[in-house]
Amino acid sequence: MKINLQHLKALSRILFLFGAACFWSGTVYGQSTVSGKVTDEKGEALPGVSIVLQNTFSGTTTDVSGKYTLGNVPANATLVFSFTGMTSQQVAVNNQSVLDVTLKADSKALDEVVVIGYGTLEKKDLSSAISKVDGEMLRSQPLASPAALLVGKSTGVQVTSNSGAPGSAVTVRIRGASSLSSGGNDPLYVVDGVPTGNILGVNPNDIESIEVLKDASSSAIYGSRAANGVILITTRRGKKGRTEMSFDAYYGLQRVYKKMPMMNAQEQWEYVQKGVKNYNRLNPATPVTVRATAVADHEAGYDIDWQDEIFRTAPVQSYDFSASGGTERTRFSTNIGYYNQEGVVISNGYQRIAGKFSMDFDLTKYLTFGGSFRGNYSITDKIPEGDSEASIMANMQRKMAYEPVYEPDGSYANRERPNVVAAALEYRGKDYQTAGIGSAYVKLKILKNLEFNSTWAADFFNTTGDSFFPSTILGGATRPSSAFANKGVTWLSENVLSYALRTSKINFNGILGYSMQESQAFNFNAKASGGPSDIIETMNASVLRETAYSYKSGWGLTSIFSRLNMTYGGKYIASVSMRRDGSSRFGSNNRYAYFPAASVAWRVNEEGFLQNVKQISELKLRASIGRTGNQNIGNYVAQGTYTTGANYNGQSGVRIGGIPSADLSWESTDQTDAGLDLGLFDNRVNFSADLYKKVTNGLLFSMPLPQYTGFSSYWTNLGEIQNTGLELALNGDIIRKGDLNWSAGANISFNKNKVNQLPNGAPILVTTATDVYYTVNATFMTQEQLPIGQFYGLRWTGEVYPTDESAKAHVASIMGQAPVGGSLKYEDFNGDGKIDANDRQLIGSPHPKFFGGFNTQASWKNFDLSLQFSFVYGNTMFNQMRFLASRGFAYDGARKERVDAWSEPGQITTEHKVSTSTDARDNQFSSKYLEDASYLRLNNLNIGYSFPEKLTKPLNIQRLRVYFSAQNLFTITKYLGYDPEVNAKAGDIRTQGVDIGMIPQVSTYMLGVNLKF
Amino acid sequence: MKAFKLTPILVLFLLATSCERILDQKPLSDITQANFWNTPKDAEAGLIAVYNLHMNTAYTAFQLGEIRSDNLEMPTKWGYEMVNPQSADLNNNILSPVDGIASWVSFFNVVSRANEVLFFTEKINFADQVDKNRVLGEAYFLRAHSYFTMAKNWGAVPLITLPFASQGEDMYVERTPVNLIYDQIIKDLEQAETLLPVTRTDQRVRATKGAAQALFCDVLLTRGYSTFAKTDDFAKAIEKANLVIANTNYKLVSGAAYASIFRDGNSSESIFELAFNFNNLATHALSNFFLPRAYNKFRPYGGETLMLPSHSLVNAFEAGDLRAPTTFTVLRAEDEQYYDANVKGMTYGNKYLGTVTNVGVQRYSDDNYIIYRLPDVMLMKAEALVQTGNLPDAVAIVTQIRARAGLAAKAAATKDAALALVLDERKKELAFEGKRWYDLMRTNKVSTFRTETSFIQNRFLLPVPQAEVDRNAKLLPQNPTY
Repeated sequence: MKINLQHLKALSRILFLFGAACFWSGTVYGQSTVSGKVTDEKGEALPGVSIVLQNTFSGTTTDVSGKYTLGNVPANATLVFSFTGMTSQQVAVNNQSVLDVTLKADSKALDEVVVIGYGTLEKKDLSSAISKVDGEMLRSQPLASPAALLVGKSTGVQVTSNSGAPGSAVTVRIRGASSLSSGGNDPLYVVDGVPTGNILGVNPNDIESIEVLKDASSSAIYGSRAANGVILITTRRGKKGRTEMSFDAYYGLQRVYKKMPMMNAQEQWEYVQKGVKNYNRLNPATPVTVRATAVADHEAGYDIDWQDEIFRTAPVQSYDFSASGGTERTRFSTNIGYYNQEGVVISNGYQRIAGKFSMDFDLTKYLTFGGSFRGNYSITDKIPEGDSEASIMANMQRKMAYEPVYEPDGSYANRERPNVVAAALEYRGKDYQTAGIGSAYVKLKILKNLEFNSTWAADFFNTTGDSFFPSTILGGATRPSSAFANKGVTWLSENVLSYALRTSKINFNGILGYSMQESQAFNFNAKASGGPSDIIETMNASVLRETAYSYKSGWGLTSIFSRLNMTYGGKYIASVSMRRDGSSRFGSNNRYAYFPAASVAWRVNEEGFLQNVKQISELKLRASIGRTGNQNIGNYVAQGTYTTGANYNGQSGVRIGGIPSADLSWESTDQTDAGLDLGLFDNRVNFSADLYKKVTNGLLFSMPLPQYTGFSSYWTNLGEIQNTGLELALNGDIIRKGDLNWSAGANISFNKNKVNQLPNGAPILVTTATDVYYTVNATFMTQEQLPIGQFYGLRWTGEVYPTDESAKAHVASIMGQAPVGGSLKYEDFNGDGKIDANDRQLIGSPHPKFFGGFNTQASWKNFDLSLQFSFVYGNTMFNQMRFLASRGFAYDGARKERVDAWSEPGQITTEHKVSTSTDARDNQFSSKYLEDASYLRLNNLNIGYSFPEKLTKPLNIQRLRVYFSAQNLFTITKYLGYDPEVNAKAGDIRTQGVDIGMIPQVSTYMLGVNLKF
Repeated sequence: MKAFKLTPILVLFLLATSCERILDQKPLSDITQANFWNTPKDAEAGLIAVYNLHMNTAYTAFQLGEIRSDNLEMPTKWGYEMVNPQSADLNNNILSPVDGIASWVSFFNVVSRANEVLFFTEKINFADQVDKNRVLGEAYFLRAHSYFTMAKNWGAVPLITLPFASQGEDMYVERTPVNLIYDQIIKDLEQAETLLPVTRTDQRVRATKGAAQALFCDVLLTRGYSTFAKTDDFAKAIEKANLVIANTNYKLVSGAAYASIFRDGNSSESIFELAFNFNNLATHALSNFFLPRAYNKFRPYGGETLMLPSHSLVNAFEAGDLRAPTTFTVLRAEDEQYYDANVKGMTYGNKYLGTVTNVGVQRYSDDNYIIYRLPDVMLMKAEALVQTGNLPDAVAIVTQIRARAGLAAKAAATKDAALALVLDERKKELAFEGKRWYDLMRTNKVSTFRTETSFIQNRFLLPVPQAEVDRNAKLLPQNPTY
């Protein structure tokens, strides 16, 4: 009976808490009310100052005029006044009812709050390696992806845009590559607490800050997905105060900043003649003449610069409206933006409309509800890009300058290589994406120091797309048509209990949480061909149904996590965390794993012996250790699936797709980090250094098998990769003198990647698959004691055999063929007198030796200027585009340097021969086409002018700023391709550093306006 | 009091922990090993997959059996100058271990899936033992055929007869000497011959007893020439051929209807062929290989003329040979306007015309690819008869084949002359059916018929694929001449 009564009481309490919280306020009886005004040193009111009753969660914030009122204040309480950029003050109430406070500017910007997983922390209490990029640094740049904006801004984070195509993907590596699995090196993105795969939908103008969790101590709280670091994106949230509205817009023009030196029609024509001559020299019995079509085109006198036909100056524009504000109990923030970027290649582009709305509502002092919704809709107008048969960029380089774009009758001129203008204009392909994240939370103060937060979120996307090749372009009368639809929903439930305690000696906080995440995806695609007309691009007109495919899959993750942070005496900081993850992706033998981490820090400047050294305002030593994981493999690979579709004679067959791996488990990364933060001269100069070592064990590894086994590979946990590195960052406020302010920062990161151990110890060779016609595939070797994916091919000596005799004197054969004059001379690495696969050797590394960036901001009166540079040094790129345009087949377009192609016995040149037959192929993967892809780039230049307040105030405008901005104004590089920042084979970590068919990075010049009401 | 406040939290935590079910994600679109290989239907589905893979070998099998022979020339200037460098190289026997044509993956895929069918079907209960025998027999046949093609092309290859069920097994084996590969093929064929039915409704595109006997005949005839031949190989080859010839399922098509063997498929003389049909998305590339490329959009698109009938093949046909128009033809003058100028008067291969759809002008290369038909078996018997010294019976068979083609008998007085007569008839009868290179290699006559200086002599095997050596060095040493 007694127990029942207890239960009843408990139930009523639940109802009480969630539904009828208004009663709650009656249960707390107060003493007195305190009010007052908070000002800064100049006496100006400070709105939004947080006032907290010490050691509790109760408190308030100041209003627009800096005033506040706080009820139920015990007579002997202490109030803590804090505001970003100001030194916090603790004021004892001592029975006073009016407390006016003046806050002093905090020269040590260390009270800055840093977002960490499942919480925030003041920067001075941090004991781990986290980079924070302020949202202000990300504004006004024509890049669709927030990740792309991180380039050059944070140590340890290497950002590479795979392509310059609007809306294209970005490769982000935090502290090197630690996995050989596909997609296993991408960081985890968390947007406002929701781990998500879709960050393209986040409007950069809505970002408050981006925090990069680099070391294990900070990232291990995300457990099995954190091995490659975590990127936390925090968007703007409403604050109490007057409603602020802002409007931001820019319009710019983009262009390719560099053209490839291609032959003109006359040079190309002579090149063909040379090819005929070389062919006839080697095949006197079957001489050829120039093709009739070539002669006709030449005589017609065309001279086409195919780059001019394909590239254009393209506009980019963005319009963005935001509003935020709040009353005593309700705060909101909203944002809507439209972004439209046309591509520099004719007929492609990206448009996006993105919006978000967030609301926070204090039901009582103990209960806060809130939620947010963000959504975006985007349209990508595609062209065939990258390594594909129809690739515009790749085929463009092979078009002959004497070939016309159009026939005299206006139809597209089709010659041997696809007419790229036709392909770009006539190809019809668009992707449409709807995506969004909705989340709701309830926050409950259980005790004065104990808070419970439950968040529920759904992250969804729906992408559809179609494509159609009309009969006028590649594919001809087959008119292939295809469409796809992919959709997915991931839901998340996160329940976190947090405890905070602040005394004069101790600053403690701890969390304990449980989270569940489940994702379901559905993919559909279909392909058909043989439609009767170019008018209908959809498959209803097609005759032959080639593919009809749908697929469902899902994964689930459950986690328990906890973290304790403590600062003692303002000097000694310690943090420990633990997460247990369970993943559906692994065999039942290895479903759960633990990810512990710990860190300590010592703020030496707080010690007595440094108190008198005024120059040193901050000196912190940090050390951390911890374990993170990677679970990035297919959803069911552990189970060994059979696949359908192996049909014969109209009957369906089923065959095994992979060998089951019941013991398949997590990749685990152990990382240690030692760091130092130094602030000098009132923190006007800040220096920070981090040294780390990351060792990844049990690599999730698709082990290539000899194909006689019937499998090409199997999944296993074997091998070890290590990354060691050093990161240095220096920032300084150089001048701060009235009207003139100047600050600058620089960062540099060194990462050394090394494969410690491979399965069987045997090197892994991976050759890229290439869909572009007639090219050579790059081969990469991953070998113990070396970085992942080294280029592995023949070494070119830099010479071309001047004569048949000199060729025969060097080697007996080249790849099985008799050597002849004019062929490339490769190094006979094993000295066996012939050039073959055994002469392949390590010829380069796609990994940079170091990378980083520097930036500077200056302002004088109403003018402001900022510059952002980035650099990468020491990486090698396979310029496959140059290979395509240097192949030696006469009827392929060629680069200008090919005018020196060998054509006479005895000729000394570095360019190999040209021929009208494929027998002239010098198409071995060799060092000839490997190039240094180091670069230094001015990513962004921004010059602005803010109109004086006396002009704008009467118009009720708080701020009106106009600016000119330029992206990629210059790039210093020795790379011979369009742009050294490219990654055509981003999907496989073992085949990085290939440039084929990607649309290059562009230079953009734009004008913009920032308006704030 | 505190306890009450914690209650809602505990409730939420309990709710949460009950949701561990989300870790059990069942594949909705895949079959796993746990729920496959349980019923006769699973065995049949697994077997169909082996046929599917075997069908995928047709493209490679044609190239390997034909391109190095004297039946084909690789054009350098014909058509659209779509020269396939690999075919041109292969035509001259120029090969390197990195060439795609040297890959054995498609053949080993057949072997490994057949291994699975054999291994798992044994454990499945069938209501009808005959049905189980048929499934096993077909798998044995397909495995034997794949190993036979590999033995002829690579010599020693890894011998794998059990499925790899997990990753722990030692997959890094050495190559098994070619004589032992032949022993395994014969063991498989003995099984297949016993287990397979004589007839079935789709008997020309699925393995039957006759198909197993035809393959058996081929294997014994081929081994009969080898250094590890058994003394009775030729005699036994004749026995197997006799079983096929005596089978009433197989009758020669009339000379007038010769084209229908290829155009329609499933002819009365067909013993085993691979079923292609564009409606099932089953196509190969043989039409593209042979037919000229039209640039006018009113002609069926789909030819690339990557290879041409050789002069020696065209000249081998006597006047009045009923087979000639089906084997090759000359581009008709009235059609020349639709084609590139330099294909005027071109003679091109005519055995694989594919299907041209009514809507659009796409040509789908989907003629059935014939593995064995009756004349092949008859001529194999004739060859074995020559080798056993029975010239009159051998010549009689050739006469029978010639008569069907509308040609008069030819005599042969010596063993050499009789062998030459048989080979010449095989060349014409079976042109472009992936036989000629093996005929020349088997009888050691490659250097007699391939005399061009560009052709590399004394190279009878393909190289072991470099990609395989890179993954398992135990496959070395490389084959001779590489």
